[in-house]
Amino acid sequence: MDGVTDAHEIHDISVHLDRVLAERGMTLTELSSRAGISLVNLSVLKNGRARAVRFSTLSRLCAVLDCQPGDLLSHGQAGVQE
Amino acid sequence: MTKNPLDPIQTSVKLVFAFVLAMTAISLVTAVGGSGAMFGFGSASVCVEASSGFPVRGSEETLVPDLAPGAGASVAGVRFCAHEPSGAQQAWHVATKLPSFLVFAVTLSLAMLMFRAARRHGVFVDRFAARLRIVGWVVLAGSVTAALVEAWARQRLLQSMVDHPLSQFWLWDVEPSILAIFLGTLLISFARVLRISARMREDLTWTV
Repeated sequence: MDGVTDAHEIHDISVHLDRVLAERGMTLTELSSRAGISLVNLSVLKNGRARAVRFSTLSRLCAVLDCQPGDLLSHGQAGVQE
Repeated sequence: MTKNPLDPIQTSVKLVFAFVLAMTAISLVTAVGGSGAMFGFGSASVCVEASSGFPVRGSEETLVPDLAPGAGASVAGVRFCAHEPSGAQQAWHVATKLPSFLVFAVTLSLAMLMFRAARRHGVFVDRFAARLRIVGWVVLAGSVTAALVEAWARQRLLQSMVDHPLSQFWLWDVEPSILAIFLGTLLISFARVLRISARMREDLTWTV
């Protein structure tokens, strides 16, 4: 059981919030206030410590950043910070 | 106001712990003072019950005179007592009573520690699940071990009071508490559920 749980915690998803923010010239604080997402949660997401992302969070981010979920997340580039 | 998820068991354990502590202290004082006994320590005589089936000479008529027609009598058990017990007999006597109490006392103490940890760190954490699992194993293994030791000690004490060698099948006299075994198993299973809950809570913490 533990092995299964641990295996599920290992993932290969990268978050590119930094890059998208830089492309739009927006700060994390500004995104926080415009999307209505706490700065703590955005930091968790940006630093790759999040274990799950709610659809509602993703939707608000995409609405403010005018992007697709695929612009924020990618698979197979874990550890690669762009 | 959310109710404490650990109640009523937490309050019950606290009350029982205080009661056991008080009774143990009183028993200790009376045993040391010579006016009482504690687990057989300080008692003037030691007694042990032989299991049913112990051979007894005598007919129903000699056991219970004036039996009504059609009525019968049988011996369900025999109680042996040594009025001037030797050191070994006293030791066996203590061993027929102490193990169960030790398991009970250790379980209560561990439960108290477990609840203290829960107050500090919460219930849905790995630490609480691990402690619950330990309590479960103590109840399960402890109750079985105590029953084995007590049955063996009863056999040794009984053997010291009769001249002929007794049957070596003392394992038949082991009487483990089914309730304790069930409770221990239940706690171990519940600890597993709690561990999964702890992981889920942790996942929720890191969900954005």
